[in-house]
Amino acid sequence: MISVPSFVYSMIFPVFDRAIFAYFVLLLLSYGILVAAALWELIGHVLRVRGESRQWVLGSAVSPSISILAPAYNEEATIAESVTALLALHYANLEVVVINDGSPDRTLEVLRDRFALVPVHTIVWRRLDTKPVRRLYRSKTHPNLVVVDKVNGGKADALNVGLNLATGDLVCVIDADTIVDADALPRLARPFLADAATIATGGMIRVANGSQVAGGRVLEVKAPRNPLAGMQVSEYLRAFLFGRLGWNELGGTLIISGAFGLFHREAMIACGGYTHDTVGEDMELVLKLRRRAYEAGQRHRVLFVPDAVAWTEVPETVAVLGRQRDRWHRGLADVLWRHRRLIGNPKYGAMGLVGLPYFLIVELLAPVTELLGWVALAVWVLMGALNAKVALLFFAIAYGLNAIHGTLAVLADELSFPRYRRTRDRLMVIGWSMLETFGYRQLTVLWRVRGLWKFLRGRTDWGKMERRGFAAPTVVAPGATSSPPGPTRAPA
Amino acid sequence: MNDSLLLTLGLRVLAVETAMATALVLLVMFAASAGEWWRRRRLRQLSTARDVMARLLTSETPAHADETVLRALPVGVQEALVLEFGRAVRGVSVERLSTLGQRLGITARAEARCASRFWWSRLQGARLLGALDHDCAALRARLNDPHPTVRVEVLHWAAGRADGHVIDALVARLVDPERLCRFTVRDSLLRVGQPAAGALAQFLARDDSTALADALQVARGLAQPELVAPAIRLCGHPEAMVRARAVSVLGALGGDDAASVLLERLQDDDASVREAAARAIGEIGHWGLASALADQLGDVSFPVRRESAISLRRLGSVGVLVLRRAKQSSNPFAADMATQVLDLPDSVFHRIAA
Repeated sequence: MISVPSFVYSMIFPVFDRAIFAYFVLLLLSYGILVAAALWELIGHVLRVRGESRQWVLGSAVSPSISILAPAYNEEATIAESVTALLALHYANLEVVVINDGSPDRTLEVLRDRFALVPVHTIVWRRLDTKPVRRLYRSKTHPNLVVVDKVNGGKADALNVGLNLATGDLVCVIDADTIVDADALPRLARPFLADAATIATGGMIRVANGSQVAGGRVLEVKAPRNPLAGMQVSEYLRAFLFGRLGWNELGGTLIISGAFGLFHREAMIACGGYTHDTVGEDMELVLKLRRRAYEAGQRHRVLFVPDAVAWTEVPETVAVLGRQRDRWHRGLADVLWRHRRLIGNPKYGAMGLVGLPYFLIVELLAPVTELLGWVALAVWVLMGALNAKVALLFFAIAYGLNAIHGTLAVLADELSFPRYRRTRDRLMVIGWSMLETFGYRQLTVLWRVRGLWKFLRGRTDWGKMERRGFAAPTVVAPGATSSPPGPTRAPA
Repeated sequence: MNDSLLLTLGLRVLAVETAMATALVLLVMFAASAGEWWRRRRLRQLSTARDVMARLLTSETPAHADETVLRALPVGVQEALVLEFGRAVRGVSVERLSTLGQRLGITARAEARCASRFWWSRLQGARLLGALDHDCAALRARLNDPHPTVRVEVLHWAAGRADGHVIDALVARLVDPERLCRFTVRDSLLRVGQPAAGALAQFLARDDSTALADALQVARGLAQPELVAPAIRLCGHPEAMVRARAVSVLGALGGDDAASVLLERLQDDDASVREAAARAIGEIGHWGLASALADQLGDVSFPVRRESAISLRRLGSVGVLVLRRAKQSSNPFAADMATQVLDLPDSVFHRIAA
């Protein structure tokens, strides 16, 4: 037992205790409000769209046109299959723009051979400043396919080139390796038809690891057997069904995943497109869109649509997952720093007064506080300042809350738009959610703190991402275009 | 707070949490099992019932036994069948489905639902009556339903009813406060087709009309002669979007009057109007305006240059000749655009020009 001066007992311990406890209560309250708002929104959404025919939206002459932007970097193994699946999506007025971001592999050759591409004179309406375009191609066999080959400039630059080329009223942004459900586009487009103020919508990203995938479609949904992937399933469910959906009711979400989002093209261009020098370009774009709308005094909506689903492959190794989470947290810190003047500013309505303070206090600082809490707990016990039984009980309570949160997400999923057909898969997801607290959660805290530390030291690299691929192994190099599903910011 | 009190409180919280977590897990399992059981049961019932329904809808003399099988099914399954078949069948089968719905009592139940105070119940009633192609006062009253989701459903149904009352109601709904309703109205008016042209022309001719841009979008799709005069008048509207849409209506209708207006609009201050005029000239195939389009190849706006080049190619040999000459133009913008549009594969060009 370590001896402690009496003033530590009388002054420091109680203050620290109360601070941690107050933060814990704030966290609980915010999650409670988010969960309640999300459940309310989910019920309304299910009642509105269940049984609705999407055929008239799909086939209508007055439906908005959509351009899909698919940036690709070193995707030679999967690009043909991915683009074929995109061209087969259920939407009448669809254009697919594939941006080869200077891949050193055979991505462009594969596209040229598979889709009978012919070069056309390369002129582009440069509404956004980008790295040079090398060549523009059109397909003889697929008139709605545009392929552009450009000098490598990263994902944001590739998307800005796509924005310069897109002709659709709406622009759908996906990663080249994202698998989009065939009917996801009309679902994602629905809010744009319902309200002219809608400037962006985001879809639900689900984990495809373990599922049966063929021909660019998820044929049978199964829970992953890999523990890391399994825990991410539960994390994604919580983050999207509660973290994103809840914000629909609380002033609009601040994040649309870079893996699957639909945007108003003119609004995107008007706010300058994607920002190049950030690793949180998806959140940065949404903040820019909303900031511009607030400053122009325009009513606007950014919504999450729970039944528009896209699938992604999540990391299955500790190293890759660590790099991903570290990058997401750096991105969050960077974006909040860039827009720090908006935090708490009443001029920016619910975003300034509720959304951004939440992201600062609950999302950005949560890992730091949690780490401090763990360290303090250990020190307290070592000093004999805290009963070991009480400490254990505190841990058990926190664990119980996490288990309730995770199971509630699985239940909400089951009662709204269920994907798992086998009881075994549902049990596995609940099981992974129960195991999250033992190790996985602590690791994510450390990775996020590392991300914050790197941000403070000015690091802006993406880190090397490795993917196993649905069809064949793929490696995405540093500065790569293809990215994981943006900052999911899984709640604690 | 002393440790024993903390322990007692904590243990109670933990007990509550454990009970909640256990209940939730059980609920998930129950929801999943019940859902799975219900889905399988529904699939079993539907697979048999689909065959019976298909026989009833295709046979001129339906078997009484088949109808008895349907009658024995739970109401939910009957309704699911009606919704499924209602979306898929056409012609005489729709009439048979409608008659069958009346005999099974589905129509009466749906009419009653249309008067419910819950919007989701009214929505289901409207969906069923729409699938049954049934027309009744209860459904028509829902054209003014307070809930937009219900209105959308009924406005969609109205496309199959080309009578004056419904068309007037549809045109009046062009100014619906809900965008989804306005979208559905435009879609429905387009599907009504020619019978809607008169009411739409009157709407466009009124000085106090709002939502003119939406109405002109429908007018372009309908492309009926009575819409030329209001479209020409609206080509001088102060709002650029209305002018652009009016110009595009002329592109779908053509005529000498239209050509002179389009030539004038090629010089409009707003680029979106010039773009629409360039496109419209290509659509009406007025090769006499090829030189005017050639001038627009050097326009300051990229979309105007692009539309002018596409329209020139659309004009056929005369336009292509102009484009080939433009490739040598001293204006690099005109030369670039002409080269790109001439490079486009036929399949791509036809899609863009469509």
